[in-house]
Amino acid sequence: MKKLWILCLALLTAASLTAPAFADILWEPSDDEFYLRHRDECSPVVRGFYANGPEGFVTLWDAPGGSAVQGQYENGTVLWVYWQYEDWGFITVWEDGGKHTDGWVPMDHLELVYDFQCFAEEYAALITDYNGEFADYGGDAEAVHFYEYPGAPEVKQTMEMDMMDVRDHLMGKNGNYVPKIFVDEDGRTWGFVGYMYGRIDGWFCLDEPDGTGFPVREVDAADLTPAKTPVLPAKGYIPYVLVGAVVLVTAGVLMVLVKKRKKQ
Amino acid sequence: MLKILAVSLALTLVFEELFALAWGLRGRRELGLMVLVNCLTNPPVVLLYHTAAGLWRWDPVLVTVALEAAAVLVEWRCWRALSDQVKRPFLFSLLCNGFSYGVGWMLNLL
Repeated sequence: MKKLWILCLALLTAASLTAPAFADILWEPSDDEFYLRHRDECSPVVRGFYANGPEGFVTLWDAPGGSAVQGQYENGTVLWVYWQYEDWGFITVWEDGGKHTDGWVPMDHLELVYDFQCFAEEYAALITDYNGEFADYGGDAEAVHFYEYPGAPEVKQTMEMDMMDVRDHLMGKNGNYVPKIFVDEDGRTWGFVGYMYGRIDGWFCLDEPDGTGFPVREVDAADLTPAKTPVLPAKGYIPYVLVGAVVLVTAGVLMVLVKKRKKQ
Repeated sequence: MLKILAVSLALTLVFEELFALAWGLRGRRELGLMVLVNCLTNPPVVLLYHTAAGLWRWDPVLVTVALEAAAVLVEWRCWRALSDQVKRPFLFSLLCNGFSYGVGWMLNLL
């Protein structure tokens, strides 16, 4: 028993010598073996995609071309691709309590959600440099609503004007956080905020920062294959078959040993 | 997944063989029995945990408790039926699994 305690203490000591590692602001999976081995070959994406598998759902695998299913989602579910390796996207689905499901999906099983980057590409000719249009803002908005793009159907994020110097940042008192503007079809001026506080990418209406109910802009709708309830792909059964075989063989050997023992 | 299964089995074998040695087990037969017992329980426990907690989103704590309890019971029956040296097979199985689970849990924290 003394040896057991020594063994436990030795392991505890070894564990205490190892310092934890912290990820950068860009989400990196610390426990995805494939990502960790190929991180230099992965490029960041960080964009939303609709699940759009040919069978009506997508399957998250443990690695590109892997054999273990990590999760399955019906077409139309918005999934965030954080990294891309060749033609595979690395997806993380966040759940309550910081839990997450990670996996790899072929990029051609995903359809890009129209986002601020799509808008910037589509309206590049109409987006101009910011020239202090919000510097003299004298309105009484208590909050600012950020939208994915001017005319997006819903608010993406809301910040209190007086929180974290948001008002001053947007008015340019602490540097320029609004590099571009866009004047919409109704004459409203929108300002783009990129990577403010490392987490806000979106457009707000300079004329009405707390405005809602703006006319909804028509954007290219994603053409998705109809959703179906996911079923486990044949390849996903490989681990079960192999483990079943190991269990059967081992159980067989143990049974033989038991019979031999009974004869003795 | 297959690599996870293999690594998990290998680590469990190392931890539990060390535990068995510390417990006083000696000889090829007893230590070989440890290999067989773990081949019987470890791969299904790891795969079923992945399936139930990861894929079906069942409560990971409950899944862990159920699977570990099942492993302890199966291993207890194996030790009771086949070991010459383990005099208290249930206690041995319980502590052995608790030890390897605890060490694995600590490694996961790192």
